[in-house]
Amino acid sequence: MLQVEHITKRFEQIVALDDISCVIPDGCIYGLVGSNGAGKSTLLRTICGIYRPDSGEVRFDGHDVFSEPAVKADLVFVPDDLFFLPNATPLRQSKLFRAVYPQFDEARFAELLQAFRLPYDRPIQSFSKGMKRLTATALALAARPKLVLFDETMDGLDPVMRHVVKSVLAADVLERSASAVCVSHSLRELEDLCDQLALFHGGKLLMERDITSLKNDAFKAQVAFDHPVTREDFKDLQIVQFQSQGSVATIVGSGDRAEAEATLRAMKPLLLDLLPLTLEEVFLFELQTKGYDRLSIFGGDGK
Amino acid sequence: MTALFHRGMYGETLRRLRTPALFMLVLATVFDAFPLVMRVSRLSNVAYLSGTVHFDAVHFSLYTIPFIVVPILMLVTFRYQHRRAPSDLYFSFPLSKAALTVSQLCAVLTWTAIIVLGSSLVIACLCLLPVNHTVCGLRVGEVLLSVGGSLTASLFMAAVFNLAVSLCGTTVNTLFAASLILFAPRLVCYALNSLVLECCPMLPPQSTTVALDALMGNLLYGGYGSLTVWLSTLVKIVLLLALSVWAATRRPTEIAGQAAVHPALHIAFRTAVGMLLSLPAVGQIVTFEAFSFGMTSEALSFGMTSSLNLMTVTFYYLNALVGYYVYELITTRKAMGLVKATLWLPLLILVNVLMIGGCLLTEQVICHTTCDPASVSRVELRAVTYRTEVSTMDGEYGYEAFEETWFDGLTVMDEYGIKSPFFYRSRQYAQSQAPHTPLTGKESRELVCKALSRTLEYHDSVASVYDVYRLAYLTEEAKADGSAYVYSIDVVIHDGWIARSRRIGVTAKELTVLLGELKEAGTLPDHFINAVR
Repeated sequence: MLQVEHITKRFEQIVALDDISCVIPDGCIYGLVGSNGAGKSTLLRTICGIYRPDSGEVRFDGHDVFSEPAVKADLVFVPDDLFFLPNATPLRQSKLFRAVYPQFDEARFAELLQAFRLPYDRPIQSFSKGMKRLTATALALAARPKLVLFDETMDGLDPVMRHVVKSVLAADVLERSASAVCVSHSLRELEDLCDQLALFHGGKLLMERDITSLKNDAFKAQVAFDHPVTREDFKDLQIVQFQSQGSVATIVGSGDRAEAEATLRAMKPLLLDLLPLTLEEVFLFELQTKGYDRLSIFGGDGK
Repeated sequence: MTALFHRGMYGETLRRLRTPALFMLVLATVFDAFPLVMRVSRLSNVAYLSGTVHFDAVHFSLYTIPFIVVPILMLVTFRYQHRRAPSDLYFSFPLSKAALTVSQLCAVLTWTAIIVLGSSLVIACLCLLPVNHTVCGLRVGEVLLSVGGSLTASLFMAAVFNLAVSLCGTTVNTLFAASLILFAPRLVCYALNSLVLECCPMLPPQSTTVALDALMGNLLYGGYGSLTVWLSTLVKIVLLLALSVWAATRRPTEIAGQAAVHPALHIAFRTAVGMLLSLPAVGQIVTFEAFSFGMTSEALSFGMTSSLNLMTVTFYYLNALVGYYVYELITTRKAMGLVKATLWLPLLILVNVLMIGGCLLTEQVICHTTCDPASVSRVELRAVTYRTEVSTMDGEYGYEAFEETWFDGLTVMDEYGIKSPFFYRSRQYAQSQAPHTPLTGKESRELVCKALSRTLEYHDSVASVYDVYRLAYLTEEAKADGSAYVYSIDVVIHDGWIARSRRIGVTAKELTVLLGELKEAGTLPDHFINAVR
C-alpha cells in the first residue's frame, strides 16, 4: 500500500505539489488526471524517490521511499520522457534492469516483448515512439513490481496496443495484486482501466473518487412532458445542470441513479430516457458541484 | 556495505564502459609501445647492449592517463545526471545515491586500473624482451612507483570529477568545476605567494614554497618519489571522496540541466573564474603599491621609479570581465544571466580588493617585523648567497652591470682554488650541516637582529633587494676599486614560539663572525670556514 502524506514540493518560487495526501491500496489502478503543469509527473517522481519532498513523506508498505531506497525494488517508474542506454537493444536494456531489480523476470520480459510484437535484438533507437513506450512498459512489468507508475501510459500507442497494454496491466493487478498509478491528460483513456481517479490542478489534489461510486452517483436523463417544465419542477432531485425547451428537459444530477429514475417516473413523463454519462462528464459535473470552474481546470474547450 | 556499494550497478557500469575503456587501453599501449619498438629496432646492428630503462620515460602514458582517461570515463559514466530522462531512470532504481555514486566510481577506477596495469605490462614486456641481442633491464621498484603513482593520481582525478559532478547539473559546468577544483587553489596560492615574495625580498622563497608544495602538491604533477607529495595526495583523496559522496547524497535530482546545485555555488564558480583572470592585474597593482610605498629620493636617483601601467591593468581587468560573462553565457545559455552576473560583480571587486589588501598587509607586516636579541633564543643559518657588483663604465651602479653568483659557500671555495673531497662540495652538505648548530651566542644574535633591521630599513626606501645591498654595504672604497662582496644569508630566527625565516644582508666580515661560531661548535669543516674568509 502506498501512502502519500502531506507532501509539498517547490521548485524555486513554484509550488509543484501543495500538501498532497492520498492512499493507493494494493490491487488498485489509480488514475491521475489534470492539465499541463498540474503536478502529476512531479507527484510520480516524488513517489518513486527521484525528488525529495520539501515536507511530508511517501511510505510504501510502511517504509519511507526516500530514506529507504531498497523499498523501490517493488516500485517501477515509466516516465513520459523515456531513456534507453545508447545503442541498446531491448536485450541490453533488460540487463540493466536485471542488475538493479532483484525480481526481474527474463521469461516474463520475453513473453511481453512477444505480446507487444517487439524485436529482441534491434536497437531501441530505431523504434517508433509507441514501440519505445511498449519496451519501457515491458521492462517495468518484467521487474515484477508491486506498484508501477506510468506517466502518459498510452502515449503513442495504436488502439490495438492500447488494448493489449490495458489487458496486460489488468492481468498483473489481478494475478499478483499489484497496483498501478496511471497519469494522463485524458479521462477517456483511463475510464475503462482505473479503479480510482484523482484530479490534479495547480499542485493540488482537487478530488479523488472511486470510479464505480462516481458513475453510480450521477445520472443524465432526458424527459418529455405534456406541459412546459422548469427547474423548479424537479426540486426533489440534486440537479447539477438543467436545460429545457418547452416540455422537454435534459437533466444532469448527482445522487443515486436508481432513486433518481424512480423520482422521475413518479412524475409520469411522456418520455424518460436515461442517457449514458461519460466519466469525463461525471467528473466535470462533480467538480462543478464542488465549486470549481471547469474552464480554468481543463482549458477553453472544457476537456 | 550494501548502503555504499551495489554489485549490480558496479557490474552494469563496467559493462557500459567496456568499449571506451578498451579503446583507451589500446591507445595508451600503442602510444608508448610503438616508439619503444622503433627505438629498439634501430639498435639491431649493435651486437649486444645492456642497460637499464627508466620505466616512466618509456611509458609516458602513465602521466597522461589521470589527465585524459579518467575525465573521459567519469563523464561517460556520470553524464546521465545532466539530463532529466536518464537522471529519472537511474535515480528511480532501488539503491541509494551514495551506493549509485560509489559503485559507478569503483567501476571507473577498475577500468583505469586495467588500463594502467595492462599498458604497463605490455611496455614492461617490450623492455625486457631480447630483441636482436638487445637486453634492457627494468628496476622493479621504479616500475611499481610509476604504476602506483599513476593509479593514485587517477584516483585523485576521479575524486575531483566526482565532486564536480555532484556539484553541477551540466557537462560543461562539470568540466569548469573540475578545472577550478584542480587548478584554482593552486594557482591563487602560488600567485599570491610569488607576489608576496616579490614584494618582500627579505623572505627566502623556500620559507613559503616548501610549505605550499606540501599543501598544494599532488601526484598529478609528478613527484612520485616524494613522500610529502604522496601523503598530501592521499589526504586530499580521502577528503575529496568523503566530500563528493556526501555532496552526491545531498544533490537534488531536479538540477539536471541546470548550472549548479545551488545558485550560490554558481556565483562562487563564476567569481572564481573572474578572480583567476584578474590575478595578473592584481600582480601589477600589488607590486606597484609595494614598491612605491616609501620611495625616497635616493631610490629615485637609482632610476627605481616604478610606474603603474594603467593600460595593462585595464586590459587585464577587461579580460577578467569578458571571462566572467562568457562563463555565465556558456553555463546558463541565458541572456538574463548576464544581468544577474552584473548584480554580483561587486563580489568580484571585493575579492580583488581582498587579494590586493591581503598581499599589501602581509608585505607591511613582514617588512616591519624586527627582532630583539634579548628575546631571540637561537638563529639557524640555512643558506649563504654570494653577490658581487662591478661598476659600469660611467661609474654608476646599474642592473646591466650586475653580476651574481649563487653559491653554497663551497662554490667559493672552488673559485679560490681550494680543493676538497667531492662530498663536501655538495650544496646539500653545507645546507644540511649548518642548521644542526643553532647560533645562540649573544654576538651572533645581535648581529642577525641588527642586519635584519638594516635590511628592512633599506627595503622601505627602495624597490629591490639588490639596492639594499648597494645602499647598505658598498663602501666608498669598494666602489672605488669597482667591486665589493656582499652576502645575503637565509636564517631562521627563533623568537619564543615563533620561528621566522628571513633573508638578510651581511658583509663578509659579519658572515665570518657567524661562521666563527659554527666553527667553534665544530659543525662545519674548517676548510668551509676558511674558504669564506
